[in-house]
Amino acid sequence: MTAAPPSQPPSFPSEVELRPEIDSETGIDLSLIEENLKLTPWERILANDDTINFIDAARASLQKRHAAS
Amino acid sequence: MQHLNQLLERLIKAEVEFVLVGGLAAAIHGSSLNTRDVDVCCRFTEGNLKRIQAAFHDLHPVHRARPDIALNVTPELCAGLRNLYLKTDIGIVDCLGEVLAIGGYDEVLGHSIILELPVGSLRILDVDALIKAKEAMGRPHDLITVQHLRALKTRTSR
Repeated sequence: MTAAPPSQPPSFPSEVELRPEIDSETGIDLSLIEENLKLTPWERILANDDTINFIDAARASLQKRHAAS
Repeated sequence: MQHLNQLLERLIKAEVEFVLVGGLAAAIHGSSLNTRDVDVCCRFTEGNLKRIQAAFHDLHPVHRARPDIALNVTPELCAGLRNLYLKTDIGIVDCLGEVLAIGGYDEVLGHSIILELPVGSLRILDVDALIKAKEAMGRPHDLITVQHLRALKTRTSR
């Protein structure tokens, strides 16, 4: 019997490997599209509303902050 | 607060004849771009416009460009309008009589697909027609949407 080779710790992937897939021509982050495609159509509608409402709340907070300073 | 989901639900439940077009249709197809309004192509008959009014009656629908004028569907209004740009308490709805490069309601209907949602059946412009319409509009943000639609079309056809 031969001894099993010592296990190598998995090498950490390079930054390039960790980068989300971007369309080189348009700059579109294709991973975001992939994530959206995992959702149902109804979930996509709700996600759009959630995002817009979050942005509005954050903007209102920013304006409040500007007004106070 | 914006609740485009509720606006759609109301249109469906009020049995309005409409096809969802525009940015929300693109988002439903899978685009990662967000949108702030509901664009629908609808039949511009008095009966259909009255159903739209009934769907939003408690949401204080007004004409977007003239928020001092409440939506009041009359035969005169129906005869004089090809589009209706509305603002409600929970979001904006643009009702279009036709879609550029596609045509009127019947042509748009012919290029639509049906989605079964928890709130009912929704007709939505198919990806190819949406690309064609957005290209024809040609504004910078439309062309960005076209790029998204083309990218997601490639992903889904794999």
